[in-house]
Amino acid sequence: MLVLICSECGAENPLGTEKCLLCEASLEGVVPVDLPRDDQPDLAGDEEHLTDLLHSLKQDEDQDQLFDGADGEFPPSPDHDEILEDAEQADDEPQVPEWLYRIRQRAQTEPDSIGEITQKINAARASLETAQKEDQELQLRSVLQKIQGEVEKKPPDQVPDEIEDSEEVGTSGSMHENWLRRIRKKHRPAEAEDAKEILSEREGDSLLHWLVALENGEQTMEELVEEAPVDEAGRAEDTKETAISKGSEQATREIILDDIKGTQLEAMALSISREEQARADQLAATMRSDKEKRPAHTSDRPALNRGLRLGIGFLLITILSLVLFMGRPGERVSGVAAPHMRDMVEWVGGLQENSKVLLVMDYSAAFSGEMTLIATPILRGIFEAGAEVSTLSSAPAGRLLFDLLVEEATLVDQRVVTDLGYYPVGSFGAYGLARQTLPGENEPEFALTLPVKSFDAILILGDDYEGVMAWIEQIKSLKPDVPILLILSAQAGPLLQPYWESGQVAGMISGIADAVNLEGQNSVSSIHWFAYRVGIVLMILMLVIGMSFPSSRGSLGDEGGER
Amino acid sequence: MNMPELVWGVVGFLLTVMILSYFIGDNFFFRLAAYLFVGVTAGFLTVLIARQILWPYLLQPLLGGTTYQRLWVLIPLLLSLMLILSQISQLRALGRIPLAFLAGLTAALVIGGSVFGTMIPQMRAVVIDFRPAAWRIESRSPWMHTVDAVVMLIGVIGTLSYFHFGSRFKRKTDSSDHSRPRLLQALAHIGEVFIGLALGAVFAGIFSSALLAMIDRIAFLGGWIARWVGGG
Amino acid sequence: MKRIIAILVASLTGLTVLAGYFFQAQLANLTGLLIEWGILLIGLAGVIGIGYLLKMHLVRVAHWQKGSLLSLIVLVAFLVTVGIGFFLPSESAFFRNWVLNIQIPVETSLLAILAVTMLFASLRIIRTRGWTLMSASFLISALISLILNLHYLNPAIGTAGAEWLEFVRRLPLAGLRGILIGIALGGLIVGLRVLLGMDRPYEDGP
Repeated sequence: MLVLICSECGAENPLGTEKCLLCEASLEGVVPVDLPRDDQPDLAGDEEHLTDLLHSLKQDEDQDQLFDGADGEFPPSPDHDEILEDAEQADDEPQVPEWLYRIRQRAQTEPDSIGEITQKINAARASLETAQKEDQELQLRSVLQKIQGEVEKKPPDQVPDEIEDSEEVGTSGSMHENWLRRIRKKHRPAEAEDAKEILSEREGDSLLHWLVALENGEQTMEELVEEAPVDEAGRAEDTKETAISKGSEQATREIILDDIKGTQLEAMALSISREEQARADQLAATMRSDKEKRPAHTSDRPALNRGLRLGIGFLLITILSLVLFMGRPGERVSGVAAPHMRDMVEWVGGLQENSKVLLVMDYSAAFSGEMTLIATPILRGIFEAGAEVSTLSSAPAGRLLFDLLVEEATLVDQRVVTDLGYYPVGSFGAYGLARQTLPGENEPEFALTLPVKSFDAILILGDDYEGVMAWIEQIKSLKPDVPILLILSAQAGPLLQPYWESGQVAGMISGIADAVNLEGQNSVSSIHWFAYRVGIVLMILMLVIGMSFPSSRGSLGDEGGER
Repeated sequence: MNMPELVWGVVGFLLTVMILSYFIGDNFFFRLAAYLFVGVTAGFLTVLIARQILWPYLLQPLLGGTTYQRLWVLIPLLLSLMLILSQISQLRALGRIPLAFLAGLTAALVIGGSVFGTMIPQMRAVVIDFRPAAWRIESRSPWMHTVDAVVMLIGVIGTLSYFHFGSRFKRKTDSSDHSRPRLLQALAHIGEVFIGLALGAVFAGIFSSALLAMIDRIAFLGGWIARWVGGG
Repeated sequence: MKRIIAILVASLTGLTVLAGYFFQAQLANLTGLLIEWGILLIGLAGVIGIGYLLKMHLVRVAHWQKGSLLSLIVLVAFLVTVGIGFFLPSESAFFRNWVLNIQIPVETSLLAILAVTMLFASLRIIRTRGWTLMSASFLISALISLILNLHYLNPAIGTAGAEWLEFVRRLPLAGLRGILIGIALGGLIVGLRVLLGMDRPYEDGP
């Protein structure tokens, strides 16, 4: 049967058609072709024809492999005359089905007509190439990282400044070209000229090549340096600047790259693409920048903060010194004792002779001065009342500090004080002390240590709320009837105030402010009190100044170098 | 000024100056004083623990106690040995038992103390503040006591609302919305104010102690110089 | 298996001591024994910690690393203190002077430095934190507490001024009470988790 085969899309058109039914291309001048009906295959169900199809596709694949895969370019499609010539020639050859011929034709003219299978094959090929490139890049990166790691491990004195200088100098392309040229001459003289060409194309990183060359070759850096005078006079300066001492050479030499063979390195060195080159440049620059001395902080804020702190310290010390050594004792403070202080005074006043009082020493040496000022009048009252005093320490230096306190307070008629020992954790000691035994039952034989005594009152001298809180909690849980009194430093007072408010604590004194109210002024504390007031005024001034000049940068302003 | 006083005075003077030199920056003398302090404190703690804990709790019953006492001391001895041997890396697992013992002991003391020593009494105090019989400051007028009690109640609830102990609020209608109910948020804002007030009082207290320490040191330095210059 | 034993030890010990709060007289002896063992172990742990400290300094001195001179001072000071402490009786005045005349100047001076730091920090509170509810209330409370500490305001008892002053003085108490209750709640939760084996701080490793 005669049909017109469209030269554009290969579709069959009935005789007499002017335009192709499929693509509407003009059929003018197309020679009718006689198509035997019997030879037309049934693609839907004929495996043999499918096999032919696949075979044809495979043939097309083979043709594609001859092309440049990266470009994906196909050879130019043959002209119509060529197709006709081929068709005529095909008459002499074993009969190729027309439909196959048309497929081949389309494959030649339209890249996307290849078919899904071939497209996938091409995609796989492309990804394989990409993966290979990535592998190369990864290997290069690992090389550079290992080198960086080795150099960082070395103490700074083994990595002299020349290396940094040499690396900085190495940014100059011509000098790197010289290096590499020398290396290549040594190892591969035949390729030196080729390498020259390659180098001239490449800019930047010869650090990579240098490292690779060192690993490949047996040449030491000393040999490289020795070679320098042989080269042109113009390069003498380069070698000086790139001279590397033995120590650094040793550092370089000791780099072990176990997982990359020399041949692979060689291959990589020679086949490094521009992209890889650029990335290696970046890595090398990062390494260099890490090693470089960082520029001095441009902002003078840390220095300003330090200066400010020094100035404030100097101011405080000067003012306090003037007050302490040139000031006069102030007037007697006629303050009103706070309710918690009044309770304390009442308790001391109500102490009877031979009352059993336990003193818990729970403050550190830093607060010995403050505690001496605060506790002296209370202790004096206790001793003067004739009470039996026992001491127990929660702080390591507790007993020593008690002795010092008694000595500095010049307590008259110091009764014999029983020392109950040191308990490293206040709650342990408090629990052990406060537990009760059955009436009439003695302490068992094995328990030799924890005292089981009843006390008329427990007086806790503390500098921190945590330790004192543990004592209050345990004693009030197990022995709620025993009164607890507190002598505290100013920092512990606020957080323990609620215990007085709730009635768990019978009385408390906190800080010099309470102590002055309690005792009034005497020759020891009056000067201290005056200096204390001056310091407080200074703090108030600082707070007001700080509130008056907030940051202009917003609520979370600069923090300077304070952190 | 006798010789011991002079010597200890010089030591104290030098150490104070060395530590205060921190104002000009971290320097060798500051670190020298700090390291000396560390050594002396470590030595003192060793002596204290040996004398006050190891001897009376372990060695004395073991060496000089009755058979009954020695038997009872075997358990802490075993625990002590396990703790010591656990410092060897291969035997690290041995330390689990004594540490578990300590952890259980401490946990129980913390629970008992927290509940019976702080939570119940403090919460009771918040409520009892409304009772005239419980007022501790007799000089105040009743209405001021009542206002005080109301403020206390709101402040405590607000402070506790500010903390949410790590839990995230989950809304039934919108699971992606973790914002707390408005009432809680309002209470949290109130609590924020009261926490600020509390921390301000603590700040003032800490500064008072620190200022007194500075006064004490300056007084010591000046007094020592005056005595030295004055010839004792 | 070892893990279960450890959990059991922790739970049983804790429950026994907790029961001691309710049955004090009946369990006094047992709880006293447990407490004594606990004190012993804590003391021993302290000695082990000191041992680690000394080991660190010894290694530094042995290899003559940077800072080995200061480490040598630590070791010498330690040995001298231990020698004096074991050689002389515990009530010895010399031992007390040796310890306190080093501890007091150093610790007090460190605390004194804090005063200057706090003065400096007070200049920068608003600059760093900005004006928030908490920072504003913090500053106002600090100012009021400091002013009250000066004792320049001393109205007579029973006057309106005294009442208002007392009211202002007690304002931080609400927050402090809330903080204490919060701490207690946190301690309760952590303690329960340890007793129930949900938290196991005694297990080695992360």
